[in-house]
Amino acid sequence: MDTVLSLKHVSKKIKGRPIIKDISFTVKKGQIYGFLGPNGAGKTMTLRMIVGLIRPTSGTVEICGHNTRKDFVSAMSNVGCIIENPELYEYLSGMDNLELLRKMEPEIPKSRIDEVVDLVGLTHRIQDKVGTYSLGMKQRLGIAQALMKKPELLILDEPTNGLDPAGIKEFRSLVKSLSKDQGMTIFISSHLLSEIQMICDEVAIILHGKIIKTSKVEDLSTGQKITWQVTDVPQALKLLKDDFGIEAVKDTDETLSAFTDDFRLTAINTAMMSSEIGLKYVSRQQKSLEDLFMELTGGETIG
Amino acid sequence: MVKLIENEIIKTFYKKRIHVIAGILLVLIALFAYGEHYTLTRTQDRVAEQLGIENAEDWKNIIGQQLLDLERRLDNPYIPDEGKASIRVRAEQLRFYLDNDVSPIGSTAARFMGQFIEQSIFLFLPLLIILLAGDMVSGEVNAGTVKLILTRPVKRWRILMAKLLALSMLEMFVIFMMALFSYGIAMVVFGYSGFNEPVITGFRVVESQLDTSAVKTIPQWQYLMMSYAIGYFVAFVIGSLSLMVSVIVRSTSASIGIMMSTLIGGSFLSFFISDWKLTRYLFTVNLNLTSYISGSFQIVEGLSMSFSTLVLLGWALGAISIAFLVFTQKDILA
Amino acid sequence: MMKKWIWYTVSTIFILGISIFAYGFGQAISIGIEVNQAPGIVQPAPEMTVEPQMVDGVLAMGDSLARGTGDETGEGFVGYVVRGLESSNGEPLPLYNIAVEGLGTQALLSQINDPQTREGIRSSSLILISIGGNDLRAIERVESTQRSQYFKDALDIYIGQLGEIIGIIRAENKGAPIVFIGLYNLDYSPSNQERSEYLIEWNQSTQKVLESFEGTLFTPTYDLFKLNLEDYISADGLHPNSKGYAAIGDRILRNLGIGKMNMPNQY
Repeated sequence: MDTVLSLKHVSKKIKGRPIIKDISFTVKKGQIYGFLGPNGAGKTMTLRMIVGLIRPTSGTVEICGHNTRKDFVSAMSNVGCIIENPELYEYLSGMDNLELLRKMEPEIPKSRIDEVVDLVGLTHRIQDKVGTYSLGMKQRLGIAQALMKKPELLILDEPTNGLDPAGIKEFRSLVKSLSKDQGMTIFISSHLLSEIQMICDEVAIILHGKIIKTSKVEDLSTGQKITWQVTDVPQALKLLKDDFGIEAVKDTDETLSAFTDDFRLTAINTAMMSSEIGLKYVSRQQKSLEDLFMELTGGETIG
Repeated sequence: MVKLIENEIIKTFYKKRIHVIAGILLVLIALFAYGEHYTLTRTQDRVAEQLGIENAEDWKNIIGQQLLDLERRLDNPYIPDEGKASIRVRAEQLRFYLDNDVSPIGSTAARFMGQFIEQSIFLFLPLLIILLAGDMVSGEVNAGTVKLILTRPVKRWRILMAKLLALSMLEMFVIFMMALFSYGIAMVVFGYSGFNEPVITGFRVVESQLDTSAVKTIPQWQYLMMSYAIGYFVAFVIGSLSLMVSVIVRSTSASIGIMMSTLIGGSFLSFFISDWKLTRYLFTVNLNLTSYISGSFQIVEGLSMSFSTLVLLGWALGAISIAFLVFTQKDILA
Repeated sequence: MMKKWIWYTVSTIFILGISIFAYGFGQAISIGIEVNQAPGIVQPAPEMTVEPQMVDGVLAMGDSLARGTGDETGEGFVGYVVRGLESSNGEPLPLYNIAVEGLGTQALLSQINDPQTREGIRSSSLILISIGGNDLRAIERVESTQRSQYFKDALDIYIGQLGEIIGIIRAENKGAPIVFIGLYNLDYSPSNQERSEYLIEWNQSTQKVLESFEGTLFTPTYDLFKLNLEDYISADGLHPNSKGYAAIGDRILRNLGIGKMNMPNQY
């Protein structure tokens, strides 16, 4: 099966109000797919519908070709997931938790538990009650339970929430190795653009319950915002538009900015210097999510 | 499915829920036993005063007298056979006391066990079961662990079925603890088992009066088996109802609170059974099943063992169906 | 592994429990069904009486003395009298005893107001009554300064009720003799004068009421027991024993004109 996850016209109404409006996207095998959107956009709601915690009002979700409504068991046997916080049984030990879950899917061999505990680095605390774990440890245990069955599809909901930079780094390398070494398809939701950019291949962007764009991450434009400090701003604007087809924006009397990639920057700068625009300074900054949304929605704000 | 049930039972134990219930049982049974023992001496004094004798230990003579009187009445040709049934069984009981040198005033372990289940079946036992079952589902939704189990490749109904079956097994365990503790503590306090003592049963209510024409005696152990079996049935019914509430209501405290107030409030409605026909179909008024076999006079016209059993069964099945229906469709938003 | 133990214990208890449950519950239901199928009458409360037809028999009513409480042989003076009559007449005599232990005069009045009891009264040839002892004994619980007043009130009430009772009996049955047993004392010592005074006055009042009706016989017991308390009182210290009852029964028979029976160890 090439398509591991597909959503077709999925909608959800709660008490008559539409929360999720007709979203569709596809995730192919081996991809690390991002699900990007600000808080409240509907990411978690969508994720819950994928794993069967919530029923869509209309539309279908298919995992590895199995409809989650009609064939829940076959669909979910390919899935490992963490939805929101990784809550586990606090009064049981980490090992007991994993064992309990393993008993629900007896095809998983007992040895796998030790493997997965080792993988997330919890061997030294696995016998302690989960109530004594730190947030980071709970996250790790959450990943452990998701990976136990070596799923085709790993679904992670804001996985770096509450992790320190070291943890985030570890997480990133884990995800990359799972994808590269084990061919796992990974679906990650986040509100951090940088996260998505660093890990994912493709992304679907959701805002107010609607998918406003799906694209490869690299196509999202490098996410750079270039600011030129010039003497003649109108001239510069005209140059960018006529010669490069870039719609730049005047920021102040002396500066203007636009989104563009590295490759053309050289050419642009050269062109500016050759003309009488009076280029003084070029700077760039990371494109924020706000910027991206501005760009995509033509000015529509997040709120 | 077996594994799922195992999981649920282990969860309940590790949550220490069973420990709490055991603790409450122990304390209450001990208090009850002590109370009985304490009032025993007072009862003996009172009996002595009433009969105008000095030594209440002289029960043998009194019993002997009563027995003779009863036997004479049995010989009386003017009492119809139907009237003799109650005389006959009472005589049997008195004969047993004399033959086995057992005072009818005191208590034995077997009697205590019977009394305890009779007294606790309509309120105390249900409360314990509510404690056990009340957060079966709502607790997991609150804690978030419901996400863990519902995202496994297991159909939802199986998960709920495992909870239901585990609950049934745990209810049996609670009944077992009740029997064990009451036996143990009673033996310590009273010392005599008394499992063979004859107990009178077979009462019925005809036209608002106690009809004793079909009474007979059965040995205490048989009576206890029946009483505890009835106790388990009540536990099962309450457990099913609690499970349903636990599925529908999100908060654990609301779930337990609703069950408790329904139970206690509902028992008030038993006042209206004879007039307001509808109240007899409430589950709360039908919980006192042991009173049908013990003849303690809570019996009301129109209610009988079979009627109450069917009503309770109906409630249990209804609750289970609703629980399954809701659980399999429910959106887990939190 | 702790967890395995938990599982095994719980499942074992469950399996055992289910079998006990099946048996026990089945039993309970079957008793319920059995009971509902058995024919039966409503067991009357003690006040009411179920009464078959009775002809020319002896009717005994009142309290535990009429019941014969304390008699090892169980017959009491009632049985004694019936036996005496039977051997004198040469044929069996039906006995109908509606006495109830602990009965008071008020309760006896209610009892004989019942139509079936009246039927029994109508068809008797002899009526034996013992009542009043329980009414008077209540005085022991009264505080000593109130006793005198209490006694007066209680006696007044008793006299009224007794008159009613005898009146009803006579209304239903003009001919049968009515024999009434007097009260005896449990403590004849002169130091307890209050007690003997009350008893004597009570007995005298009773006799006066009885004399206002035809065919009544007051049979005192006060003197019978005076010198024979040890021999005549049963182990409960309150009721007569077999000998005591025999003494009473004997006196009644003689009053009725029938010779004394052969009793061992008569005084």
